[in-house]
Amino acid sequence: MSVAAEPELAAVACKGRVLLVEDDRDIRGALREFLEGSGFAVDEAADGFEGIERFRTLRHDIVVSDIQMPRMKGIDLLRRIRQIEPEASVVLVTGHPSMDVAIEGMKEGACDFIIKPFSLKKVLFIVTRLMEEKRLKAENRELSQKLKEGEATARVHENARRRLGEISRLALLAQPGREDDGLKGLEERVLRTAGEALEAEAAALAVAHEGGYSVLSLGLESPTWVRTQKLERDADPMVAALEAVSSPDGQAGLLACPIANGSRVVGALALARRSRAFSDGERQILESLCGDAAVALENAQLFRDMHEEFSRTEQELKLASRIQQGLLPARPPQMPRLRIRTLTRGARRVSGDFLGFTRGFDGCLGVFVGDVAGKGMPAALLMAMATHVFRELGKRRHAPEDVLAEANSTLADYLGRGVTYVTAIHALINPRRHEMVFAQAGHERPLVYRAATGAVEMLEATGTVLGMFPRARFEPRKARLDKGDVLVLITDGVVDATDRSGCQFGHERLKATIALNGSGGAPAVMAAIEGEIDRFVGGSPPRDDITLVAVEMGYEGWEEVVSTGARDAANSAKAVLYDYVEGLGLERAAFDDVKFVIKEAVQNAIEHGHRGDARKTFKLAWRADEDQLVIRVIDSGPGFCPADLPNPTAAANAFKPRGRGVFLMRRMMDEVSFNAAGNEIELVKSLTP
Amino acid sequence: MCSRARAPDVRLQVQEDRGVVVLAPHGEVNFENTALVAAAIRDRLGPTPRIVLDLSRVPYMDSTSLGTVLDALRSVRELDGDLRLVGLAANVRRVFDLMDGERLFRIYATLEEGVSSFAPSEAPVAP
Repeated sequence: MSVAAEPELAAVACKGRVLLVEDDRDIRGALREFLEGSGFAVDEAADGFEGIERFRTLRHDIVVSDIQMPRMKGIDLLRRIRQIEPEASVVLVTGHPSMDVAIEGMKEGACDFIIKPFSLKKVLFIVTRLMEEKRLKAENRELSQKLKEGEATARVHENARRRLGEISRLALLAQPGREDDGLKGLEERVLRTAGEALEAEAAALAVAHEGGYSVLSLGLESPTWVRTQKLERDADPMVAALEAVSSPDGQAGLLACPIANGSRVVGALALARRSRAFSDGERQILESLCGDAAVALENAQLFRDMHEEFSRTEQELKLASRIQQGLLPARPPQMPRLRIRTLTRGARRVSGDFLGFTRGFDGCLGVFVGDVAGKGMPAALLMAMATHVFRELGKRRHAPEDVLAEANSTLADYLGRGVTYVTAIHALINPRRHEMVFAQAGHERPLVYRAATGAVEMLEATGTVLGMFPRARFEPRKARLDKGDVLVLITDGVVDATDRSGCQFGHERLKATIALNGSGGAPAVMAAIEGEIDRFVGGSPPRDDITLVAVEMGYEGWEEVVSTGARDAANSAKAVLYDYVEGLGLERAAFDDVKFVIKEAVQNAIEHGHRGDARKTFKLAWRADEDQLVIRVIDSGPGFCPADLPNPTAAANAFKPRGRGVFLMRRMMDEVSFNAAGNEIELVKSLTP
Repeated sequence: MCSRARAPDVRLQVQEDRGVVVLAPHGEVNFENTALVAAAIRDRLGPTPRIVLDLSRVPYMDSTSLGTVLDALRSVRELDGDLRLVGLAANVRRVFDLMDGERLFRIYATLEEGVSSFAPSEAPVAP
């Protein structure tokens, strides 16, 4: 072992030297404390560059590195460390247990993976195993050297050769995952290694499994044989292994040794030889071999468990991600006089950001956007809880400061103080009165594009984070939002988006982007911000979740949705439009008429326009101003001639099948017209009393 | 686990009361399931059919299903019988009203009124 350059490391008589490369100081600290407590000398680096510098001078035995770090990724660090020292043992820590990352890491020579969140015991186990491998390899080299130099006596020579064979094989065995024949194959290899090293004719291995022991025995001389049997829990593995190798004819040599991890006996290995008894030297060889076998077996077992956990975690993450998607609005709400766009992007599979909309009285729209401190699964769980709390409160309470106050005390109850916190903003927008009331809790402040001046204003607001101080109060703020103004709500992931050199997107860039594109309304603002962020980060992986909501005031232009004729798709397209019409505040009967007409028109498009072909698409488009609501249904069929339709109320036409739908539509709406091609119907409902 | 009932499902209850066939669909009657109602009515077309269509559990009918009811009425009338309507929800009533339904159908508020409107005197008298 080379002498450490730093006295603090050299002074410790330690099990080995570990370098931790991890950008999260808390994780680093916890690992360091634990590994030092277990007898390792630990060195730290906050990122890849620092890590490489430390490694270049100190050549640590083992490097444990996070995969996802700013400046340099774990994989790059691994590559560069292996360039410096091809035999270096590098363990990667990942929060994304994806097979791709694992495979890439393996290719680059990673020794092992640790999946976050991890147990410290597992880390200790992996580090200990790698040190053991290193020790075996070093011993191997040393013995080879001695053999070459011919220093050894005949006895040493023979023992050394045996030991060498044994070690080189076991060094291989100790690499779980390199072999594809699993635990059973490993057990057989342990038996063969021991049997051949000690020239035995039969070898047996009893290994503890759930509920007892399984015994594998091999006849090593021809004819060879394999036998397996199962034993109850209270059986003695030594006796069982010995019984499995002894023959009724008797043998001169019988030898057994327990396989133990620390003080826990996990099995036993027995050997039999007809010709002669086993010597003390051979007994020692078996003992040391059993020590190595214990490590190898436990490794394989752990590897299998880890692999299972790996796939389970993967499944769970997929499911969690789907559930989260379900908690976010599938599409922004449709409301008269407002045009709303949203963007949500998770840095990981699951996200800690949340957003939602509630409908208040009088055509008001409630919007909430929030961010749970922390990342990954714990943040995702809190996100689900916070979404629920805000949705429910938004239905019952209307003043944003009350929503925040209640959300705060509810979250504080659940969280227990100081565990984590949530930042949020809640706004209630009144599109008729052109105003907004909002309150915020430690969140990014709202930005407003002012159509009159083209400037972007950051609204003043203060408020403490949620979930920490149960009695906190929140201040309501009012803001005027004129026609054409665009309100932008964000989470900090937007301004914290980081490029390769470590620069942040920042508020100034965001404001400039909004100012440049505000005249295009909510869709232009949203598309521009998304494009700018993508351009800015230039492919570096997102560090934080991103959530954006843009609400454009006084919008009276067209909105549309396109759908196939498949029932579920068509129903959800209609639901979007119903949602919009509901916001117009029509009388119940008039609302029911409009709904009936939309259903009829869509049905006509699918059944007549598309001749029932559910794959063809139709478009619903609508707009409303103070005076009227206009709806268009456009199908992709060849069209028809509406003049041919009979009037179904004429006595002669009472039982004619055609014309009823259009007749009813004409009665229920103020105007019904078709385009020249006959594949587009326009329906107008007057909104003036 | 709850499984979502498929939207077009409509259940049809059939009863006989004092010689009158009472058909009571449950659920939204629309383009996709109206054939079920049409078939049920067709099956019950004996001589001089007397049918009450109880719509009290139908929240919505579209123009196609309205056509189904009109077709049924025509078939029943051709056999010198009648098809009468009861229990129309406001939405459904609106559609019948706009189509001038009162001119074609006898419409009653309750099932009892509908069934008893086929008074025994109206029944065909044996010669």
